[in-house]
Amino acid sequence: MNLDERLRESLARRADAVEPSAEGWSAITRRIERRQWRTRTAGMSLAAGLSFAAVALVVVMATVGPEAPDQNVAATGGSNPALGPTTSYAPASQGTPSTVPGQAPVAPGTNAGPTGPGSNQPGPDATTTGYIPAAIWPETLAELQRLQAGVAEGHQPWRADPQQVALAYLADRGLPTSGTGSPRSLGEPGALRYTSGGVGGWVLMGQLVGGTVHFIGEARSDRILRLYISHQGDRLAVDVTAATSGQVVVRTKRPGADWRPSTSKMVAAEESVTLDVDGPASTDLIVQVRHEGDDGKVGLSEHFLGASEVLGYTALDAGSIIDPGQIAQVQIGMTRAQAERLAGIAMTREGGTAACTGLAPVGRPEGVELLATAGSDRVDVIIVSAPGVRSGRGIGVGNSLAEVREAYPEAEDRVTDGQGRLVHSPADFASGYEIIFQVYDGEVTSIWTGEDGLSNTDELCA
Amino acid sequence: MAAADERVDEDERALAGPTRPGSLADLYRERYVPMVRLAFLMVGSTTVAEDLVQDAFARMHRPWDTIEHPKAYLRTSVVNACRSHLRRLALERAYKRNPSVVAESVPAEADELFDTLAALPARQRAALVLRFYEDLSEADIAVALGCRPGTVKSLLHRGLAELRKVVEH
Repeated sequence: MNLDERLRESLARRADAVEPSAEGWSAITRRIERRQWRTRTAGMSLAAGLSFAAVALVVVMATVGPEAPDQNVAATGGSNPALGPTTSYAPASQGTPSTVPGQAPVAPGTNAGPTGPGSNQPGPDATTTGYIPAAIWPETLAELQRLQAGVAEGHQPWRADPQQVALAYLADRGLPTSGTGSPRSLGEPGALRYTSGGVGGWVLMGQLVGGTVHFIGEARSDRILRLYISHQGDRLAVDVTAATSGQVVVRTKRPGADWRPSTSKMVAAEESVTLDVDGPASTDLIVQVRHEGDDGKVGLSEHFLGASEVLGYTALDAGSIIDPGQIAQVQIGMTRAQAERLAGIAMTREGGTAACTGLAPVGRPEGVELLATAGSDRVDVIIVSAPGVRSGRGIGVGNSLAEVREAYPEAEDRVTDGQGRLVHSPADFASGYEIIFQVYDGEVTSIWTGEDGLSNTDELCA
Repeated sequence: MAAADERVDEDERALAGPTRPGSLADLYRERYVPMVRLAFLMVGSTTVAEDLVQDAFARMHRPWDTIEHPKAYLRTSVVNACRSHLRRLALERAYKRNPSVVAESVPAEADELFDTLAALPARQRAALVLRFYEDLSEADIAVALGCRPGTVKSLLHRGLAELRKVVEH
């Protein structure tokens, strides 16, 4: 038996021994009931229920539903009496309806119809008492349903407008909203970018199933470069790296409950600190990380952390690592909108040719470019051409040829007289990607990464 | 991508019958068990495999009517979910916190070839499983993995080279 046949036989034998649970369909229907309307990681789903146009400019005009909000309308706190610190969804300030509309479980195969976070149209009638959004504001299904009933009676109609909800959330969390302008869509469902008090960030939003009210699912600040949250028994370990010096304040709560006492630590710019925070592993939590900079500016990241989950992200900055297939959390194959969101900073079109579109982060870090080749709306190549960003083995622009050879002894050497390329194609998790160190006069002048074969493409963007 | 779409059409017809599953429940009846087995071959745990496949089904509920090729869509979704799961494990390991313990695989007689496959990088393993278990063409594997066919060739070549060391050992 040759290798192909042996492999087929081995795979078939192992697979045939797997007997899935008989409760599969029940589990799926429960998940459908719980499902929220948002997108979380690159590379998870090919869902194509919405269409939108993503343009590689800082200000993105995107269509996310039949009534996309006007991106250019500047909303100031004074123009909308619903905004500002007095905005509250506390039950006492609202006209509480006496009943909540009855709801039915989601039936598999129900025609969901087009809807989305950017739409003010109601979703399908398939509302469900079992649906539990992973939301941070408002926090519970009961609260969302109460607000929905209020909107149906004409109270707080702004709750059906995702931009207004985003601004109200920022105000509720004590971030300045006057002069903030209207959060703009990032070109993917529910992702809105904002600038508050000179600090940028984005919020990920969802819409109540069967309703029109929107909620915040996640918030990130450009000030918080790296975050990793994991359970340590009944505590949470929260690793934070902030862009500037200041104080990091972390607190948690169960959805619908009060905030637990906060924990705080001073932090230097771009240095990691770990905070030990109350956070039982057995329950869903809302985790708030607030950075109060020495410059007086505030950044806020807030996340829903499911029971026993871990959460981590790294924004793009001068300390980012470029490795085969990715830089920080931006990966080859991501759409430009996803790359912008996960880079944590806006991108602007820069350079490029008829064959390629170049994207560069606005501001820091310098010398980073993402390329999408012709016919592709996805990041195909990542290039670093300035010192700062380094590879996983510590090589950056300016390192000598000898240093690259020492760090990557297995790399394919195509260097002659100090000019050429060293190509590293890892035989590990990142297999399928290459990292290329371009060498000129015996020094690294740029670092590239893309799929296997990139190093053989001399005229990539000609 | 037009050529890849045509191959997806051929693959759809080859999978089962001329008609598209009428509902998500129909797709479940037809493809749940094969997808759990495919996911198991990628992640090594039946529990994790079922979890990932159930999530893939749940994600198809809302856009169901707009999905042209549900079986291929489901397979790609499952493959991507498996890769994301493995990436999450790598993230945990990178931060050196208590990483999730990969659940034990289905007990079976010793199989050095399968054990070597299980130790391969995720994309190599995915390419080999899709080629030698699902019998996909390189073009279809490229669609499922979101990469170029040339990359698929490279993944298969390297993966087989590692397995060959075991066979020739």
